[in-house]
Amino acid sequence: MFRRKDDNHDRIQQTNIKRGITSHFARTLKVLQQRHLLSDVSEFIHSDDASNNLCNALEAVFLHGLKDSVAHKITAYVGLSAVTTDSTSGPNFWSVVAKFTHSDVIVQLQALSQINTNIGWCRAWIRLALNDGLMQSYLHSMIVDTKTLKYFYHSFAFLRDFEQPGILKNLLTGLMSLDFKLSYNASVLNSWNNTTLQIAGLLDSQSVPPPAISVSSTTDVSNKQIKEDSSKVTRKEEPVLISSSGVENLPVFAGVGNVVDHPSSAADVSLLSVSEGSTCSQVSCPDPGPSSTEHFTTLVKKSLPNSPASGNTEGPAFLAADSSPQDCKGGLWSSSFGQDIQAAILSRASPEIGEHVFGRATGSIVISDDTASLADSLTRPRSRRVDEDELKHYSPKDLSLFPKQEPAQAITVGRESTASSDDSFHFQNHPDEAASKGGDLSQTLADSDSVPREINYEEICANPSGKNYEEIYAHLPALRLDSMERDAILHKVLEEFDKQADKEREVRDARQAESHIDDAGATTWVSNDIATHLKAGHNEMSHYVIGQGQNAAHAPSENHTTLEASIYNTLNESADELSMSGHFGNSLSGMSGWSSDIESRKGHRAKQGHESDKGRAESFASLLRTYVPDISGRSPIVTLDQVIGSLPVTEFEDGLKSEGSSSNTKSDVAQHQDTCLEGFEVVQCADTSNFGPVNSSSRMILLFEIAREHGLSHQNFTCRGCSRPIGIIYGKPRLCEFDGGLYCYECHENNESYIPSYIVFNWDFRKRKVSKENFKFLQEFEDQALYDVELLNPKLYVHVPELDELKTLRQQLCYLKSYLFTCSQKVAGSLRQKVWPREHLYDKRDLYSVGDFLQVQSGTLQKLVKELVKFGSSHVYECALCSQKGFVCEICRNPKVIYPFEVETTLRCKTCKAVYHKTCMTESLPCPKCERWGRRVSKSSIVEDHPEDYGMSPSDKL
Amino acid sequence: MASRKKVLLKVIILGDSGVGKTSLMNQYVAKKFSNQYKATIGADFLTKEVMVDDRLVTMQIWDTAGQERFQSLGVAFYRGADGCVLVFDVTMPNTFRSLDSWRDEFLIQASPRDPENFPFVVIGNKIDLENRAVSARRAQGWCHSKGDIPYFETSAKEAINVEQAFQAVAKNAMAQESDVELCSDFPDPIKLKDDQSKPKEGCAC
Repeated sequence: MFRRKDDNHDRIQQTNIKRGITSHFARTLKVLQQRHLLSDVSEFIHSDDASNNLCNALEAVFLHGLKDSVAHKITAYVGLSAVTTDSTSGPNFWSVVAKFTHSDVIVQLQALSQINTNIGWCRAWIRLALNDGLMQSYLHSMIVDTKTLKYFYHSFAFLRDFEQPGILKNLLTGLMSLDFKLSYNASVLNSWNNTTLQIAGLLDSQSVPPPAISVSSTTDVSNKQIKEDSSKVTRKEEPVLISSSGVENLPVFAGVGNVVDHPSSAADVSLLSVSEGSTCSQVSCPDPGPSSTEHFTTLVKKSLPNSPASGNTEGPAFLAADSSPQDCKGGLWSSSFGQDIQAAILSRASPEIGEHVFGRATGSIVISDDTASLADSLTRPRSRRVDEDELKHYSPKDLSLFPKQEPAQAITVGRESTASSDDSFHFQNHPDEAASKGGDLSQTLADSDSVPREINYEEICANPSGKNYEEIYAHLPALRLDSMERDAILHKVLEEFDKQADKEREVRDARQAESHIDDAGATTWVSNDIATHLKAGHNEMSHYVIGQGQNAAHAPSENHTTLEASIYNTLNESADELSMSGHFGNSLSGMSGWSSDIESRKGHRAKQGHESDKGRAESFASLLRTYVPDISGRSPIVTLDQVIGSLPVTEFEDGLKSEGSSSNTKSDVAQHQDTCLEGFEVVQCADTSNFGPVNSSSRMILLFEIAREHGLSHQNFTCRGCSRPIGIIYGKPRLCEFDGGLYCYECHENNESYIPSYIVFNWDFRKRKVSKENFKFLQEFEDQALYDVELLNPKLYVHVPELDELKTLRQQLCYLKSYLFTCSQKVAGSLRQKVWPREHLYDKRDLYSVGDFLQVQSGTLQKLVKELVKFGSSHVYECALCSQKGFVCEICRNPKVIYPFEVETTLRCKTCKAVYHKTCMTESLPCPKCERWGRRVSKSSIVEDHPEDYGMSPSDKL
Repeated sequence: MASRKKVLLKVIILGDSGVGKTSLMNQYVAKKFSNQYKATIGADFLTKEVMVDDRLVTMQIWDTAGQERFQSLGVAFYRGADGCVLVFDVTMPNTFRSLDSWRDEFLIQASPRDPENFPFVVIGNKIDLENRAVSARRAQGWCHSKGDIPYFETSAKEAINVEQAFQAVAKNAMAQESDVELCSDFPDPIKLKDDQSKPKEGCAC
């Protein structure tokens, strides 16, 4: 895990690390530049995932090769033996940069209220330097000062490398045009994040999957959460919600076993929990392999010691849970989260340990009630820290994405949590997979889910405050259908769990009523609740998934807890309210994804249709009204009983009971919703799906066909993005020429972009106005080689001579590729390097990206490919190996070797790939090699008919 | 006097994918064996200096890819080959059957001066494995039918017979070489050099 730096023999490794740092930096810089230079020059770069990536790279630059005197603490850090020291100690280059920094700046940094470690100052320094645009000059003065560098850094250090710093400095020049406004007074910065350590080679990247994969999936969640939290006073809590790349946490997690002694441990724990949720999901999504399972088991093991006492006795456990509300009130709201978290962990882990599920779940709850004990059991401050960083790192990409008004935001958050729970849902699948089944199903689920999740996100974003959640909700089922279909088998199991879940939900409601103070902050609360309810109502999906993979019986309880955790984590906004709801969360059912809920709902509709219909048909307000009194009417004792009752596996079949309770809950939910969303109409789902926001799959299709404008009536006179009314009295709608939809002025800011389909079909490079979302989408896809000219519009080759020329050139390049890639590593690498990141140039002759098309027009692409061909062919002619891999024309037998990339003079047989002179080979002439091979095949088939030819006589056998 | 000359012998190893061509070469040149299978991409060569009949000979051994998918690369290096090793896997009858095609293809692509007497050697590899499926007799029969090609049964893994097989190739190739030399009345040093370096220069044109 930890790389000893003194080793001479891993010099190559160090070189790779250094290159890695540079390339990482170049990559992130490119991302930043693309976004900020192309879109809006005047825009400031705030702390978001891209800029944090950049900072990570810079941190790695300064961290790499730090001498032991400074870095000796790493061992402790990575070893995780002492949790408390972990977060604050570790390698840092503060003493280095302090030497180069003006004392005023140092004072300024040290005065930062949230920064209290050397690492924090280092990281803040990086950000400050970027903000002030001084990074380049800092770097320069450091590189020049070899004496100081020698003192602080090993000879293999990045900064002492003879070429890398130069490259970096050049790259930094690219930063000049960017204006940073990074926040640097954040406690998150007090410890390194794993990405940095990985880049710097301090953490073994092999044991930790690259963060890149997880970014996309988590970013959304964390963004939202951060946003949500921004209203909060303390920054500390932010990180809690933001768990981003759990993948990176894995190693850390594994090591943590100590008790947390922070006063704020409760908060930490809660943070952890959140992160857990997403972490797991991340792990599972990109890499369902051993790592996730491992992680899993660790968690389980950790939590296990706590649970044995409570064992199977649900009674005490739940009592404890009941008492917790008070505790929570007194303490941090986050403490209540701890429960959820733990529960979530447990529940997630439980599939593996089927028999103990119940006992463990209860056990965890008990533990979590007591804040201190909670902290003990969880004690993962370290990982939380990391999470914070990660969160920060992947934090809001675009503030604009977030809905502006509160209720909407809450809904959004709910959505997000759904998404995250969705992830966890995957996660749950994976253990199963690893444990027993081939896991095709789960894999497919994961696959199919990833897209929908994105869609959800977009939809949510698109929804302005006024929209009711039902509408959003309505969109989801359709998107989810795919996976739903695949899950058909699971539905039966699900149904049973459904009932069970309902029961538990009821219990939870009762408890909520009990302790619920319904005052100010009602909105948040309500929205939380709604989300919770929705989830609870439909969390069955995950239930049955788990159930299927493992022991179906155990599923419900786990899910409940998990779900709760996720919901609460994401949703809770006001501390008081939060603490309450967080507490309730325990009884709530698990981690099912939003989408999965819906799915399950859909699947159920035939049988349990009345339930969901009820919830849907009524307006929010009325639902809420009925809900509140209902809750208050319940006593905690009932709750407990119910909980206990619902737990046993045997009760699954109890259709009557569960049905009754479930319908109760439904109405509760409805009532609740009603009160909070008074005045909002619930739109029927069927209607919305028709003219709803464009999802990304339909967007993808639009890349390859020119969209038609259908007019306002087709869109029901609403904006395609946010569904607000447009046209007539609401002002002129704006046409997006990419999807042909009409948008309001908020969803369509008259951004202009190239439209791929216009280019491919009309060779039309005019920029056209597109909606905000589509603009983003197009930007994102600008460099993706998606357009196969031969496939989409082969006539383009006829009409555009430049393309025709390129066709030849790229054909040559494709031929050359097979030579260069079978030559030495160095040659192959140099070709790759020259082409990167546009491998499609030599992989597929007809594939273009929008960027390529633009370059075709300007002629730069031809120039580039020409150069590549020249480079490649001159290598082949000169290389002792490559030159030998030419062909000899079988027709004229001229000993002069010919090559396929000599397209002017040679011709290649498409079937056998033999190469002939153009003058020798004519269309009418059959390819001699093909003929020969054909003869052989027929001959060998004869041989097959008489296997005794070469067959074995029994005596031959050994 | 020609015997004092340093001679370069170009030997090509052919055979189906997975029969052990690379392993044989590595065993012969580097005395190493790895159980890991890694498909050869394209073609590559190693050189080894050996003594054949008191002459120091540099063997340039070309290891080729047996896989179809590398057919997109040409086999111009067959030209000027001095010897060819045909390899099959004694546990896989079909690899033996395709020796015919390999031999034909080689003769066509290399177009040696005297195809009938071109110094081939056939190697039945992997005799260390239990599940043998091609008998020595069968293989011998085939070799005999193709003009008495020497046949060796080897195990690249256990270094059985590898040395001998390659030694035979070198020897036969040298014999062919000296035949040619004998044919030319004047062992013209310049001409000789021309002959030997031809393969290399021919490609660089």
